[in-house]
Formats: sequence, C-alpha cells, structure tokens
Amino acid sequence: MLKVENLRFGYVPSVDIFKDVNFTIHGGEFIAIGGKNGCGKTTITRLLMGLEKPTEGRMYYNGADITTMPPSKRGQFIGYVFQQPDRQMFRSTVAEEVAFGPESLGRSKEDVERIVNDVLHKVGISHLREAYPPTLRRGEKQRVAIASALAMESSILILDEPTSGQDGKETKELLALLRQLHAEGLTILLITHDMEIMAAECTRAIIMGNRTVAFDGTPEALFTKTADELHDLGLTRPPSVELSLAVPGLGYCKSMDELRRKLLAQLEG
Amino acid sequence: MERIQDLVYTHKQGGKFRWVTVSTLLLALGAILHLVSPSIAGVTPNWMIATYCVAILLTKPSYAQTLGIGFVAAFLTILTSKSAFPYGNLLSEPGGALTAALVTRAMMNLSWKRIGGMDITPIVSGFLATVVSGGIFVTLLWQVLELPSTVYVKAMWPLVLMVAGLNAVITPVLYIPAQKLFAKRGMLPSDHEGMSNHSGLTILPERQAKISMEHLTYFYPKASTPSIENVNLDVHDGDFLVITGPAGSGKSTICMAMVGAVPKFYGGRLEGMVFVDGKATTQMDIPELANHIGVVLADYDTQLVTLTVREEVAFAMENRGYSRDVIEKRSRDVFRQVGLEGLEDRKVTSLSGGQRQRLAIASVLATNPSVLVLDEPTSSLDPDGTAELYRLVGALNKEHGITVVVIDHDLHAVLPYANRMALMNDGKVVCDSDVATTLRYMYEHNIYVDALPSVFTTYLELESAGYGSAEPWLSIESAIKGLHYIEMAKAIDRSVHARTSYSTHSVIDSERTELGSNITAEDSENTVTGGGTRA
Repeated sequence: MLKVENLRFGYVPSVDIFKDVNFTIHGGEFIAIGGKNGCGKTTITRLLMGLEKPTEGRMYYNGADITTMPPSKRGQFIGYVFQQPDRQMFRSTVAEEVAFGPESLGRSKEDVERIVNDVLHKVGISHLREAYPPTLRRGEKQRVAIASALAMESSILILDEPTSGQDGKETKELLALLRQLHAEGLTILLITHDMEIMAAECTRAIIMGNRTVAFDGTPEALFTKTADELHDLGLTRPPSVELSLAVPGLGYCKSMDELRRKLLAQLEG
Repeated sequence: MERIQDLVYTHKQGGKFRWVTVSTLLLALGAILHLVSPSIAGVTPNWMIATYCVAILLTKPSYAQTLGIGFVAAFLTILTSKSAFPYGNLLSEPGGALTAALVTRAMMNLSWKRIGGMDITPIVSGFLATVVSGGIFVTLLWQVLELPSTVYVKAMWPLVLMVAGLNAVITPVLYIPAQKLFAKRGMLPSDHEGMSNHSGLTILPERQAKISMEHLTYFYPKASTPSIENVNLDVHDGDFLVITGPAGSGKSTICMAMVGAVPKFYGGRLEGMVFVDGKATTQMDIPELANHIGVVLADYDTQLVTLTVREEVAFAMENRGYSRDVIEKRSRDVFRQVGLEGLEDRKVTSLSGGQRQRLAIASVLATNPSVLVLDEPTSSLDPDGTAELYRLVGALNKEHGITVVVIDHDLHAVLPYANRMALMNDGKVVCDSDVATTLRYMYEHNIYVDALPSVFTTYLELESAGYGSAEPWLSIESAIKGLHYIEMAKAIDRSVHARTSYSTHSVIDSERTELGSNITAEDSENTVTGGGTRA
C-alpha cells in the first residue's frame, strides 16, 4: 500500500541519518518502529508524512509516486499524532479542530457534522466537543489528533511515542482504542520504546539502526534473537518473552496474559 | 503540652516582600500620573502621595518599611520635579507616608470608619497625609527661600489644603480598583487567614526517624478538602522508599511537605507536623531544610539556573559560602557520582534531558544532603534513561548511604532498588510496607492496579490459581526462579500423585532425588503431606 525505495536522508547534507531504506507497508498491519535514541525513528515517519524531503529515493502510495506530494495532500491518507500533540491543534474547540480536515476537502455542512460526531464518539471524547484543546490532558489531546485523522478517513495512522510519560491507566486505555481501530481495518505505525507493547500489540517491527533498517519482521523473530543482538539494536526482551524462554516447552509468549494462559494449561495438562 | 495532632500552622502564599511589589507598582504609577496629570483650576492633585497612601493602606507595612516607601517617593518626585527647590520632598514625603501609616493603624479598629457602607480610611489618610507632607514642604520652602510670611499663610497653606481636598477624592478612586486587582491575584493579606509562627514553641517528634510525618493534614490555600489527611509516614536512615498512588492521591504533596514547600511556599493550612532530623519543619526555613533534604522536581529544568555544568554545581555551594578548594573537591566528587565527568565545561543547554536531570541531582548532592527526594523523575525519560537513572540512584543509596525517596507511577524500573513502598489513595497512606506486601495490597484492594508491573500481576494470578512461588516476582530473575519453583513443585506433585499406591518410603526417596537437596526425612514428610493435599 505504502512503499519506500532506497530512501536516504540527512538534516545536514554531509551526514546521513539513514540510507538504503526499503520497506512496504500493507493494509491492516500494526507496525512498531523502534531503535535507539537518535536512530531516525521519528525522522522516517516525518518523511512518510512529507514533513521532510528525502535526499534520495522514492515513495509510492497504491502505486502512485508521492515523493513530491505536500503533507497537506498526504493528510488524506496518512494521519499523524505528534509526540506533543498540542503542536498540531490550532482551533478553539475540539469539534472545530476535528472538522478542519473534512471542511478543507469541501464536504457539506451536514456531512462534516455527521463525520465529527462519528469520530468523536469512536475515540470516546464526545463529551469534550466544546472543550478548548490546549486545556486538555495529553491523553485527551492524542484522541483529538486521532479523531482528526479518522475524520479524513486516513487509512494509515502514525503515532510518535504516544505512551511515554503516561501512567499505566492512560497507556492501557490508548492501546485498547488502537486495538479497536486496527480491528476495524486501520493500518497503524507506532513509534515506541516499550518492548511489552511492541511484542504484545504489533504484527510487525521495523527497527532502525546502523543508519538503515536493521530489522524488519515479526516481533517473535525479533525477540528470539540473542540478547547481544538485541542490545546492539538498543532493545531488550519484554518480560513475557524472557520468562517464556525460561520454561521448556512453553513456546514464545507475546504478553504476560498469554504466558499465564499457556503456563496454566501446561501445569494443568 | 499540646498534642501533635492538635498543631495547626497556616501560611499565606507568596514571599514576605509583597509590600515591596505592591508599593513599587503603585509608586511607578504615581510617577507617571505626576508627569501627565491635568490641573483643576490651576491646582494639581498630588498623585505621588495618593499612590503611596494606597500602597500603605493595602499592605499595612511596618513603620521602617513605610519610611522606605516615603524615601523612594521623595527620590521619584525630586527626579521629576519642575520646582525651584524640590529637596524638601526628602522630609515631606516620609512625613506624609508615616502619617498615612499612623492613620491606617489608628482607624483599623474604629467602628465609625464606615459611612454608608463605604470605608472612609482612604479619604482621611489621603487628606491628612497630604496636609502633613504639603505642610512640611511649604514650610521648608518658606524658610529656605526666605519668602514673606503673608505668602506662606495666605497663598501656600490654602493651596496645600486645596490639594489635600483633591487627594481626599483621588485616593479612594485609586484605592478601590487597586484593592480589587491585588486581592484577586492573591497578593494581599486576607484578614481571616493569619500567619502562624511556631518559633516560640517546643515541638518534639513522637517517633525517631530521619523524616517523620505525624498526623499530617494539609489544605492548599482556599481548598475546603484536604489534599492529604492524617498521614503518618516515617523515612528511616538508609531507606529507599517509593511512594506511589493514582493521580491526585497526594503523593506530590507529601514530597513538597518533606522539603518544606508545603506550607511555606504554597501557603495553606497544615495540621500535625513534619519532622526532619527531629526538628519541626515549621521552625525551619526552606533554605535551611535544603541542607538536609535535596529535591529534584518532575520539571527538573526549572532547577537549573547557570550557563555551564561546572557553575551549576558550584552555585549552591557558593551560596552557602564554601571555600574555593572545597567547591572544587566536592564538584569533582559529585560529577563522578552521577557520571558527568568530562562534561564540566559544556553549556547546560547542550546536554540531553537525562544529562540535565543528572546535573540537577549533582547540584543537589553538592551540599551533602542526607536525603534525596525525586518527584516523578522518569516522566520525561525513555526506558533506557529510566533504567540508567535508577541504577544511579540505587548506587547513591547503597554505596553512599544516601536515603532516597522516590515518587513515581512507573514502578517496573524502580522496584529492584526499593526496600519500602507506600501507597497513597485519596490523600491517605493506605499501605506502608515492604515492596511485595504493598504491591499485593494494591492488587487485592483493587487500588491503582494499572500501575502494577505485569510480571508481579502474573505472580499473584498464578498464586491464586494454586501455584505459589517461594519469593515474590519483583524482577525477571526472581520470576524465572519462581517459574522453576512452580515447575518443580508440579513435578513433585505429579510424582506423588503417580505413586500414591507406593509406600511412604519410596515417595520420600523419589522426592529427595528430584529436589536434589539434602533435606531431612522429617522435612520431606511435611512436603509430601502438603503435596498430597494439593493433589
């Protein structure tokens, strides 16, 4: 669906952040983007969104070349939730903020009204429709940004470290929402440092490192690498994987829930 | 002798220099009005006198402070004066200011100061201050310039009285909006909420501890419900205490109470007492407390004040008058402790977030506090940074004997280092015990379970399914040990089950081999009974 070929980029012309980046994102994937600090996780998604121009390489969406397409156009199929979502809000109420996208596409008033109601309901912030975005909590702002993307009927949603600095409750609620949206067919790209989320929620992991894509595959293939290999990528095994490897015959467990289920089944059986 | 739970301490928010702020603002306004004021029938109201009357009415300063206000007003009028001999202001303005202060005090408790619902104090003080100030000024002018007495009596004094009349009008006109403005911003002392002073009391702690919070209840200013209620919590020497709880449970308030910012910075009402090294915090200033307790705030960037890393660490020591040699030696020590060696000459702004946080810790450690308090230290760190921070703090606790208190909601990373954990809920400490007990309490009482590390939750869930471990799963290592324990117990169980028809002796034998340990026959008999019950 979204394909990048031989992407090369550097903020300073002489220093590449990465090069030779190739991958294809298919519809319905839930992808984790990981890697050490400063490896270009956020940068690669900014390129996808069109907020930076690649030095080299091409990008295609459903076969059409979008390398020179401006971000405002790409907003019709890619939604982006910044690490600090307050930087992407500029209207005086949540409803107006969410309405901005469909309005700019020239949808009729009734259509916009209906879309706004739908998406606010879907992300669970209908009660905040008249609120002033800067006064919201970070988790609520994230939901406004997600609603804005849904209002554009984007097929891809990119989130930049949405769970860092949040407490367990907020993280769980956000993941539940993402799971639901993914089940409804949305393709999700999640930049994250959280190994538990990477293993439990995602269908694929793209790890940046050594100035290119250092790993691209399933979380299972990733976390069954040796501890040294993972350390080089700036990753650690999530507890569920670490523990499942310690019990012979249990098999890979992507979450503590799965571990507990399998373990109990093994013990009872 | 009062009991500690009966102690009350109230404090007004803000510093003790509000009178300076308020009077400076008003005098600046007075100077501007003095320059631009229109005349009414050739007579100009004296705005400078009116503004300091308002300042004195609002802040009720002491006489020494009043004299200061008067002199500043005098300098301002001299600098902006068009008169031939403005120096008389040096006597007349302090005289006027003192008059205003006298009137304010004298009328404070008079019953007839209200006429038709309006406080007439501004009118009276505006009029009398102008009469006194103007009187001194014209008398000096008359003497210095050797003017004829008729001019003094027939021209100057009537003029003074006319200006005084005008000032009697403009003073309340300035006073009423100024009073509303400053009161709204909380810059004025409110009458019903006084300032307590505990300096005369002997307050002794009930318990011996590094920090002891005894019967502590605290209300933020204007709050009707307490943020923390009857908190009893001790921090002992060498502790690594974690305080956790849902948002709004009062954990940050506890942190602020330990460093004295509650109530001496935030204001409000404190009941009970916090003792640090046996001394009541209401009898200590915040800077004095900082010698005992170093705090790193969630927003640690606000603590960094200098340009370079070296200056930042030297700053606190310079303020306390350490010698140059000591500063250099201590700086070297703390840079090594926090791992910032080699970065001494870097600009603070060029450091990463994690490095700036270490710098904040370093500058706190420089003055050698015995307790380090960290408020939500990991909220802006990534998992690597979090692990690194707790490694550092754990080492400070273990190797340097520094008592550590951490307030956090991300428990996973801090657990391996903590020896105690307190759980807050709705302003109360609901559990204070070792880490495993408190985590279990959270799980069993369904308080803030979202914060429980998934590994620990699994441990409890397995236990409730009948598969207990020897030790709680507080780290991956202990979890792996626990899993092996469960597997082994199960294996024993199976073998017991399979051999129930065999004689007791053979069970003991088989078990001995399976456990591979040198347990005595008696012990293993017990195990068998246990296993048999489970089967």
